[in-house]
Amino acid sequence: MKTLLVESDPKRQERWEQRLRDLDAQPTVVASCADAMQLPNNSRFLLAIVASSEIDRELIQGAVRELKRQCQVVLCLIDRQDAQADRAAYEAGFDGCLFDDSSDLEIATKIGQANDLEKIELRLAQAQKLESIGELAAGIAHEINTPIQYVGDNTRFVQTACDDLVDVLQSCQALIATLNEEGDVDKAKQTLQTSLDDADVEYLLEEIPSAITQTLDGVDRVANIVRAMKEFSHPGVSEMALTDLSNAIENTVMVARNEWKYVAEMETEFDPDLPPVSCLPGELNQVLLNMVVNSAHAIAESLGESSEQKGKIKISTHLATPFAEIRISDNGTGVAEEDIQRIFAPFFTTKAVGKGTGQGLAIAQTVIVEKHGGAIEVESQLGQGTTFIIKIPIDQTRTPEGLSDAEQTPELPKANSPEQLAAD
Amino acid sequence: MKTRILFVDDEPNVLSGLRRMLRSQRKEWEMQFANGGAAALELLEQESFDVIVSDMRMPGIDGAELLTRVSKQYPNMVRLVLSGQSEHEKIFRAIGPAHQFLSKPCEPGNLIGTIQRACGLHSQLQDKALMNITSQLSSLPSLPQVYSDLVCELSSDEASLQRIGERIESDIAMTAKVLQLVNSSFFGLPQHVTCPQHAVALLGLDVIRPLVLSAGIFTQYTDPGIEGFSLEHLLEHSLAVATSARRVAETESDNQHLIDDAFIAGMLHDIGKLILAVNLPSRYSDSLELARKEEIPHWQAEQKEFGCTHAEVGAHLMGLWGLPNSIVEAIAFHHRPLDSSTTEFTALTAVYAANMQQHVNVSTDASEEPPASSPNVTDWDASYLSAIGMSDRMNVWGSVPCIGS
Repeated sequence: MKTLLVESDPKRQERWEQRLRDLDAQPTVVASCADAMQLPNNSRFLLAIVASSEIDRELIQGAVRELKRQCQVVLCLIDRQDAQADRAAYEAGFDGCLFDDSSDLEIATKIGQANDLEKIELRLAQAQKLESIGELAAGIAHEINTPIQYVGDNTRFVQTACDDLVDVLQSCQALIATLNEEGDVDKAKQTLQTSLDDADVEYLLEEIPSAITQTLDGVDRVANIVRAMKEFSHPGVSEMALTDLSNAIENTVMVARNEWKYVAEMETEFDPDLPPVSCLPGELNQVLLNMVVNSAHAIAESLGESSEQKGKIKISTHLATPFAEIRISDNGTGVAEEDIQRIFAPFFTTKAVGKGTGQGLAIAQTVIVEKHGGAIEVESQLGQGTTFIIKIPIDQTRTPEGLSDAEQTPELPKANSPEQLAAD
Repeated sequence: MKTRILFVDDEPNVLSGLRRMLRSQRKEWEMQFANGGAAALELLEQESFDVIVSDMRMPGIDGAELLTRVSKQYPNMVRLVLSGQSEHEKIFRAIGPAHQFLSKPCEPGNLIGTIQRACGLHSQLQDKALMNITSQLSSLPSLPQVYSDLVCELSSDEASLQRIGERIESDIAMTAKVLQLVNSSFFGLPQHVTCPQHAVALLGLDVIRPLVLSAGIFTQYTDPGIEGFSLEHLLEHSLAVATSARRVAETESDNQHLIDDAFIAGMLHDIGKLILAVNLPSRYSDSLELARKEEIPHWQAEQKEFGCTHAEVGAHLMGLWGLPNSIVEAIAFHHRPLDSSTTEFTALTAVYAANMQQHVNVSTDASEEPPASSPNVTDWDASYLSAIGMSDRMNVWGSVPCIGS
């Protein structure tokens, strides 16, 4: 249970720090919002208490939003006498207020609520992950069953071939023994010839090497799928970690292979200059997966059933300092102009009932924009295809300049309001 | 003549694996391998095949589409699916056009055995038209009342697997179809289930509901208007034979499998009549007429009309659908048990005994079988009974109480 206290007045700071300590709330104390931004990127707090005097009225909304990325609940500490203060606090985006004379019980209750919220969010995230893994499981079973089939067939073939070759070798041994003992060489030669014929040695010599090569191919395929699956799901990683995007994309493409391979060719192009990016790898993979599956569905829909043709999905990465950019393009159905505004809204789907939950892009939006401070853009033309552009800040440790960049010169359109999306 | 088999898969490695693994069959089988649905259709145009074994998911023409086309253009072929697919929704599409479903990875013994069994029965049907019709069937009709009861139960929020099982068990067509689904691993279930109740429990409501309500695996019977044939009577007779076959089996064996097999084989022993009456009504009617005129048993009249009897027709379809051998054998030989060349008590014995018993009991029922042809106790096949070492058991079975007649 960790809390963050933002307070510059030394006396009040000392008093509140002591109160929080007494409540066993492990307070971290900073003097200003700017200082809070300097904390290591992976520090995570259940509750932040921000003294109202510490907030620059100009930057207040941005500051609260920034704090919310690290804190489950952000409360404003206000003066009970100031009648306007709580209204201003809620307008600024605070989750609630505390007062100088708030009781210990009140503070403890707020901490408890934040704790409950955190637990629920974790469970929800886990449930969503399980759900999409469950959906993938059938496809992955198919991807594994196919190589297992031919690994088994080839191995059984090699087994019977070995039995036949053992007979041949024994006849060879017998022939040598006969030669040494000066026995009936003709008969031994005849036996060898018969076992050579029975075994159809020429066929075996031709087929055994490729049977073994294909078996090893199959084993590699299964191993790759299992490895990609493991890396894709990132069990236990819930914090920002430096991630190689090329690798993450390759794993996702592999895991989702059964979803796209019947309808599309997959092309990837990775920018060699792109450094590892600090991100939540499990959640980013989830977003990539949603995008790839969407693309495959869009292509399948535009091709129709039993088409001999295939569409194309292209995924590329680019370094566009200070962002890493991932572009996912398909030549599927495209999105109608009137729908573009709504595609990130939860429960919006154009798929048939029971096909789509309308959650994929909504989750993508939450992960990229809210959790990574990035942006998702979409370019689409009905009948031509769709391109999603995901932008993630390469360096998640936010310097004050970085913060003011993002806040004051928002030349990067963030996909957090439909209007901005439509403008793209 | 070698059996000609066409294997279809979009993964070349699977095809070459099968080719090598099945090389041991080269003396009995002639095998061709097509890399995809389009290639398969091309090959089919050039050569004829007895069996097609296709993957499900393939780009372009997929397995379900391919088998649907094959069933229309080459109805006579045995159609099998060999797939790693596990999504129910996709599998539903294969249930219509495929006779049986094999899951990847598939044991060679299982694959070889399935193909051999499915083809073994082919040779028994000589009549081309009859063979085409039988091979094309993907369902058989049920009594409208049973069907609507089942739909009603499935649509209810309080549907019970037990009640659904009971309804299915009371109908020949539904019993056969459900056993096809579980015995040929469409849904990756264990093999050799002969109890519809058990089959229903294995499939579960989530699978049965869409199968019945949207995939239409069961259909409703419309009376073809043949004098001397009614589905109600057939069901009544089948249930009576099933019940007394179970009792006969119980007196001879403690083996629960054998007892269950005897019941189901009894239930399905005359399924060929349903196939003939519904699909070839005028010829079936002619055969009934012939039996009356010549005063011969109806199955002998069928033999004259179709070149085979309802026993072979029923066994043919149940074999194609992958029902256990013991059931298929009991259906095929229930009039001529000696031809089965078995030497011990089996489900066939139970069905044979029960059927003889029933015909004695209902010999006054003109709608079922012409009176003149009804067997009496002296008609029992003494050579068969002595072949299985049971010459003296006939009287014991005869005293087994009969229900439903």
